[in-house]
Amino acid sequence: MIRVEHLSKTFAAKKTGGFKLPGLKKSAAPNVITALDDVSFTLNDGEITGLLGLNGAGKSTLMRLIYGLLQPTSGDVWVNEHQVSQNPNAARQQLGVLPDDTGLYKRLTARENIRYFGELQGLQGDAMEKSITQLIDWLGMANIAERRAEGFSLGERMKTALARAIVHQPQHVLLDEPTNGLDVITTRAVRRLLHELKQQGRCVIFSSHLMHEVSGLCDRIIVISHGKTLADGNLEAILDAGKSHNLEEAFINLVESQQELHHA
Amino acid sequence: MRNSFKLAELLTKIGIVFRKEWRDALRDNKSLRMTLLMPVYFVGVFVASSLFIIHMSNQSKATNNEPIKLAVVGAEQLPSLIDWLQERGVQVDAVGDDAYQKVEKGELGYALVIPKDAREKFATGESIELALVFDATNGKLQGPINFVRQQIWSWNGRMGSLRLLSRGISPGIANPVFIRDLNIASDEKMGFFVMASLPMLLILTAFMASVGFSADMTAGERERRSLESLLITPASSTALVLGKWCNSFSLTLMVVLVEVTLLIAAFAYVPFKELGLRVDVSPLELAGVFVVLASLALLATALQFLISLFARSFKDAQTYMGLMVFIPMVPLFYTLFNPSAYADWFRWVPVLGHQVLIKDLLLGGNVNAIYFAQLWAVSAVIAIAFLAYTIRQLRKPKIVYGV
Repeated sequence: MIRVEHLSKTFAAKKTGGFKLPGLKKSAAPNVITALDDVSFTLNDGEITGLLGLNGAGKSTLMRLIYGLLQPTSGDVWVNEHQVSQNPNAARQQLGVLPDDTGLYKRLTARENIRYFGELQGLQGDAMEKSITQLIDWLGMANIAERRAEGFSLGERMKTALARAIVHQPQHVLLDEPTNGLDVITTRAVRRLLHELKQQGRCVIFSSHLMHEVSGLCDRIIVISHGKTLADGNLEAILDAGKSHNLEEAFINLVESQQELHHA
Repeated sequence: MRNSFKLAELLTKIGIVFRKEWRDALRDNKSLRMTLLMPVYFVGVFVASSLFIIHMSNQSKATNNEPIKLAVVGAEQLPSLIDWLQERGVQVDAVGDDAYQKVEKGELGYALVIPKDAREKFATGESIELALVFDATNGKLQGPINFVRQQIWSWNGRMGSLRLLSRGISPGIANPVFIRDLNIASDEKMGFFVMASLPMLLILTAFMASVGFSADMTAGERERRSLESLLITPASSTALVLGKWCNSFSLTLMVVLVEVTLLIAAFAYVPFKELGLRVDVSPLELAGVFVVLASLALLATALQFLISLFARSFKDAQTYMGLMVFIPMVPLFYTLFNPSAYADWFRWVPVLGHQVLIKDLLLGGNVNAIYFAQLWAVSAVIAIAFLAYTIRQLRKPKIVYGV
């Protein structure tokens, strides 16, 4: 279970006024960019939650706050009983994270990449080797397991990174745009894995801006825009809130009505 | 109990990171080869310049060692002068009265003509006119002629002094000044220069050996986007930084060890004695040099980590590292141009102190176990401060995301 309570995050803007992140609201205080504004939700075990939002909506910031590499301006995050700001390492032990655009160690083989992270998570011996072999099997990476990551295709990189992120079989899995740029077969392998994780009763959250993927996979959808949650619920609830029969339309309606409010 | 468990876990994690980074480094053949080439290159330059200077000095000795030959007319007239000249290494050849003509014809280079009444005049204390016959256009003879002339003058001075003394007058009255020659042969000076540059090469090696690897493990890892994933694991910042740092440190030690080993070989085979230098540097003294350099490596690698962590990119890190290398250059250059500069506080200053001790070890100066302890203490304190700061900053958003 991941509990997010009244989470806000602001960044100091760069001093010169030349560059502003598009779509980010300037709050009352000058030179401050609000990336996340009073967001609260609770993610349950055995559920896949999709985080839906435009580029720059605050999805990655939210993820980073959950795994504790950014500190919230206010509010807090709990991973089961661990408060992330107080005990980040204990919280991280229960998290499996695939950050967006993550890199591998090029000179290590896929298996060694996965093993290194398993060791850092505190796995050892047979338990670890079993876990690695199982993931390689699930993700269909047997042909690349003993190859060095140098020259891996995008899909091969992504599969290795995904296996690396969940090798310690974490209770909670956070994936930042896991299927970005992947081909159909690889995307299917990732989806199959997410379902498998759900069956095992784990708490899965992934961010995406692909509507069909979110509608097909998720038990629950959270729409965020300009750092605020616009809608939160299952597919029907989102369609209701967006007054449409298809998710894409509903999503656009939600975002645009907020922008009108914002500009008014 | 709990603490010892925590320590064991920390050590395990450090070991995991350390092993992974070594595996990574060993597979990075090219960088590793370049790193190991550095000591070979430095020792090569050192040996080559030493051999060059030895060669130069041998050549100048070859010309110096030929005895100066002096043709003398009437040698029997002034035996004490002839004895004096022979004592000074001049080979005296008695020749006939036609010496003047022979010099004119070029059969003789130069000749000393002692007049026939010289013995008489010497006994009575009158001045004798000696003639030095030479051809000034023959530049090659300038050296020997000057030498002979100088020897005659010094004999002259001695005789004059003796005569004055025998009359109860201090020779100082007749000789208001005298010159004492202090000859520092330039070859030896060059030899000293080469030896004095050795600490600089060694210190630079210790400073630079693992620069690329340190930058790769921090700034490089961030640039390749693997740092974020690494920091999301529950491994403590201490374990990550120390594991990586141990890799850089051991790598530097390895490179320095190679360099010192090569130097042991160089000292065994290069005839430094011909430079007139006391270069009986034993392997034990070089082991001492290694111990000194190890303390410097402690500090240098910690500094590399601090710098490359704050660099925005690998390229940035390399630029900063290039500038970092100038840090040891400042005291090194100072002492290179003021070789005799020394104060006790030097021993407390990193790099400067290291240089003093390495120089003393190589050139046979005053070496004491306390000096080693001083350097290790100073270096360790600074290295721990650098590493502690790096550990504290590692998971800061500014480092991970640059915000």
